[in-house]
Amino acid sequence: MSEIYKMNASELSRMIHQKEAKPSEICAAFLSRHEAVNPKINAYTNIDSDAALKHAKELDEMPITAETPAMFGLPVAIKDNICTHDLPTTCASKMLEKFRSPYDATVITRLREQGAVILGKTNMDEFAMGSGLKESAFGRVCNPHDAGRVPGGSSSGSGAAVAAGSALFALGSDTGGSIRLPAAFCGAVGYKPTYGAVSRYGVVGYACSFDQVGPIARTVSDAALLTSAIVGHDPMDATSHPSFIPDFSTVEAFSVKNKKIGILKECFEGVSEDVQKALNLAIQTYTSAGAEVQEISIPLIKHSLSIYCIIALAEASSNFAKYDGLRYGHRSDHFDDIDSLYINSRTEGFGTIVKQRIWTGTYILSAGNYDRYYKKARIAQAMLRDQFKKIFETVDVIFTPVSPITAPKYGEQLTDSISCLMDQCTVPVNLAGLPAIAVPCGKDNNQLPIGFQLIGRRFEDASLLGFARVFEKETGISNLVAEVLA
Amino acid sequence: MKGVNILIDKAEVERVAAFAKLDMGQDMDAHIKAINDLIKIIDGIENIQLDMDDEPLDMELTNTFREDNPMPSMLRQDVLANAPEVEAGCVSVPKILGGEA
Repeated sequence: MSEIYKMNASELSRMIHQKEAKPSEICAAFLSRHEAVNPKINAYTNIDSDAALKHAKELDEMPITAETPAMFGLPVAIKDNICTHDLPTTCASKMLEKFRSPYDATVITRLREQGAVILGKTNMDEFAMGSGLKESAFGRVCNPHDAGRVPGGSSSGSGAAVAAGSALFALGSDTGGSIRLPAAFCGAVGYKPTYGAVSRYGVVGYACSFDQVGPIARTVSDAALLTSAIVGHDPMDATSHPSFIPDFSTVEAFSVKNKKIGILKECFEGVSEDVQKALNLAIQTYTSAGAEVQEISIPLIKHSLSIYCIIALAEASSNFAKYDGLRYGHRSDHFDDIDSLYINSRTEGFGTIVKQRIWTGTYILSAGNYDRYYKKARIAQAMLRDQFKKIFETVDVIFTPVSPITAPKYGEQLTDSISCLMDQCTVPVNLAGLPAIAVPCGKDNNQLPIGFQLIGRRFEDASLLGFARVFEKETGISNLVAEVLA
Repeated sequence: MKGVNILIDKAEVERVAAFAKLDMGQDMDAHIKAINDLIKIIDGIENIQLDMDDEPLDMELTNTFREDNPMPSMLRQDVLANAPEVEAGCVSVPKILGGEA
């Protein structure tokens, strides 16, 4: 039992249900691993070990019956933009450094109701703005496979903790790739559900028409287990789908025989040799398993970053108006009147990248620019959705890299084209509200993880995970806990 | 104008920053460079051949309503717990009314 932190959630859940392990033993194992590795990876912003263990011990005393949920006794790490009433919710920003939410997000309420243990809050790019390439107000998160490299973002701490074994699995949020990129860079499974599948109530908004909560986990089955616990309609979220609940019971037996996989050519430009090699092997795995593979094209993919930035930053500038220093969040000590209170509080509270993105969103929506940018972006978004719909008449799932490169070093200057290509693989998914999953498929010559991405039709999340599970079964590649920090 | 990239200068940064209630004065050079990089990205929208004239009205979202039934709300003490300054059960803020328009 000494290496509990290396086991996956499905196995630990089985052990709890068969009384081979107690919630407190499992919680203690992950807390111990966290103490050992967090000084090196800085994956968490806040963790209350005593409270987590106390809760786990209370769960030890509860009877296990046939009705005990699968999540019972399992510890979960939570990205720090998801509200928890008993731990700060900082969004890794000075603006919310002392913020204590008066309520739990719906996803947290559902986890607690099913007996999950909230392990702690994970570090992230400030307000989810970024790809994990820079430090947050809470310091840099380090990739467990190579501490000098980035973990990807913005769910950087969630990805790093799962990969380092200091979290069994974690919740992240994905607005333009923020679950999938850290999953790929850290060697984990990262799944962004169909937009509307998971409640956003209590999730600090970045771009509300894109934001979606999802799991970062060791295996596809673990991702399904965690998602099942949080998915479903929430009357507190007007964008929550009224009835969609994916049936993940079909995932294990899913077959790709005669299924059609589309290789999206616009996402393969600039892919490094190692990444291409791993992707080719992944494609071969699917053809060997009976799938048909064909090249597809979605021309608007090449412009997706423009479309995404316009809509996301416009929404963000509106969302972030609430940080005014009045009712919560950072209030400056230096002001003469209400206006200088707003300006100084916001200027002091937000980091550089957040300020620049709020500025750009404000510019996009300012007089004379609405037609030039936002209106055009919304039309282009509708066109992109149509192009995806047409493609899905000919294929069942779309295959792309998550990123053209593996995790870069901190401080490494990426070319404009590489930065653009990194986002080009992920943001179209959010623009179209589709489900997507990042699946680890190997390592490069520096032993850095490589991931591929599958994109599914809206509301076909179970099939999407089925495709991913087939790859795991065929190759045995999963549960890549980094040993480098042992 | 199609294809024209707008260069954002210091004056423009300050003008829009005023709307956003931000002071970009510190690190202005870095802000100008980063903002122009972002503008370059969003200017790419000019390269798309659009196939309709107006925004679509239906993006697969439907409006939602709930019954107008009173429900428990939040305790005042919880609402005020994060306020920087509280007085007489209210959030205390600087004077807003009066002064110049």
